[in-house]
Amino acid sequence: MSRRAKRSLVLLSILALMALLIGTEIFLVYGLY
Amino acid sequence: MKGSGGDGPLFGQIPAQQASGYFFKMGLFNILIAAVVTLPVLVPQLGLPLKLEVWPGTWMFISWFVFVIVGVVGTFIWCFIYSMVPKVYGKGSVSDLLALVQLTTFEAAVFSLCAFMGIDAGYYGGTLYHNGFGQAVITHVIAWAVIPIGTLIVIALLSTVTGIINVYSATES
Repeated sequence: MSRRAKRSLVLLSILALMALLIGTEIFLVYGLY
Repeated sequence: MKGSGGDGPLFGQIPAQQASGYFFKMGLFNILIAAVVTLPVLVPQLGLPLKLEVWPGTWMFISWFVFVIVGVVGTFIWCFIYSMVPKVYGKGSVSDLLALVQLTTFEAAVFSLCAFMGIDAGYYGGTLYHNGFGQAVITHVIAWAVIPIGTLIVIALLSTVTGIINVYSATES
């Protein structure tokens, strides 16, 4: 795996964590009542 | 040995000018986005001037303005901040990871929150109002976007804090 690909993977993982945070928030607000 | 994968740390320290360059390129990209999302004004069938003037169509304008101020001007201001770090603090080296995390989360957050505000609340809600639906119905239809928008605002704020940390943790090159 190239260095560039690894760097992109790390940044994409952080964006995925961000999406997970938003998903959790939506679930907590709209899913649990 | 670029591309071999075994070449030092994945994210090291970079010159502040390079971090400034990241934000410059993103700023140019955002100008392009701003120009593209302004184009629908030229399509009479969308009725944007009619929908813009009353709630919730006003969210389209708020969204556009937020994108221009935060997405375009804000990105260029970060470009300026990074380029000033060596001159003001005498430290020319910043974290590549922090700069890229700031850049990507900021862009994703600002773009998405403006899309939610402009398309769901603004355009969709504005179209419903224009078609004669009442406030209670429209609120019920567009309200789902509120929580994602709030969360994305928090992410944009965290991204800004990341940039501040990067500036204050700059080291001498």
